[in-house]
Amino acid sequence: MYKNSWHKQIRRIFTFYRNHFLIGIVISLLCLWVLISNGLIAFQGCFWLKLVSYGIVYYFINQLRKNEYHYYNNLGLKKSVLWVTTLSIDFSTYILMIIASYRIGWIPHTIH
Amino acid sequence: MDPTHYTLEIDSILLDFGRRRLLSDIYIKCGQGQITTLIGRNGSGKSCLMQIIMGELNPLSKSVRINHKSIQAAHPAINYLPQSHFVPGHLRVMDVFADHQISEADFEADFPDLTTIIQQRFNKLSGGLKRLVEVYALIKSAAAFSLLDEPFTQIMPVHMEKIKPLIKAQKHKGFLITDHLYRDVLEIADTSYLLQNGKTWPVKSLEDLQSRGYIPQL
Repeated sequence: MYKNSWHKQIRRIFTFYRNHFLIGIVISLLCLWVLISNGLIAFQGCFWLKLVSYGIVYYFINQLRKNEYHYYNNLGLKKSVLWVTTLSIDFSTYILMIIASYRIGWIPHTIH
Repeated sequence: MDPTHYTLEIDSILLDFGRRRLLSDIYIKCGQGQITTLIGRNGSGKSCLMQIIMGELNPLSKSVRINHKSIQAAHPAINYLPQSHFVPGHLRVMDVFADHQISEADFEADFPDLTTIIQQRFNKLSGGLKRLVEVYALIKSAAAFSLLDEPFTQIMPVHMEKIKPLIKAQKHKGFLITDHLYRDVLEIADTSYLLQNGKTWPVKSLEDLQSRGYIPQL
């Protein structure tokens, strides 16, 4: 059977992440722009926007690329592992972008 | 029993689609180093059976065992070639081989006329070459069992004649193969079954397929 080293599995997860990396970054930047424009009061709305975008991305990839799951499954990566890992990376990046922007002072404490 | 030798057994499957019972009386046994083929008409449930083995389809009941131990979901010892292309399109053929721990030199030796495709992206290949790359990757992979659903579809005859001995040469793994090209699959099979009316029937010769109405009387 395969000797799947962790770095190879990570590379394969990032191969899958390419499917929704761009849309994830675009939504994150959109949310960041809303937060910079309106302050942290918009955080809740942005959170829900991000969550809904995950649902839409999940739906479309399941519709358009469902056969690709077999590729990863054959290499020992289940669908749940692919999604939990890539969405965690995407959401962590989003939160880190917000924290960094807040510390820099781009995101105001109050509404303009 | 040799602990490194795997045996795959499938039975006790009940699968309904609406009011129609698709699979009801199945028994398939496949060992490493053996080629088992499953022949049947369109809609007889061959692909469903493979999906059940992979844990992608949940029947009313099933018993899928490796070395007498029941498995419920995808098992790392088994890989699966579905009917449709499944390799991510942006990957290069060399990436696919690397993922499956296959030497490019081996591919070049087996298919000297196709050395140029190794650098190409999968989505740039023709349908036949896509299938060939997918089949080659799974044949040469290190899994104990490969389930191949219509592996010869779209592949041109000259390449098919090269693939058959490659399958036969994999003594470390077992194959469960379905295809409508019954002469080709019977040629390489150690054990064959006809899937008809939800049941598996052993097939020893073309006469068995004729008597069950899968092929016309000659």
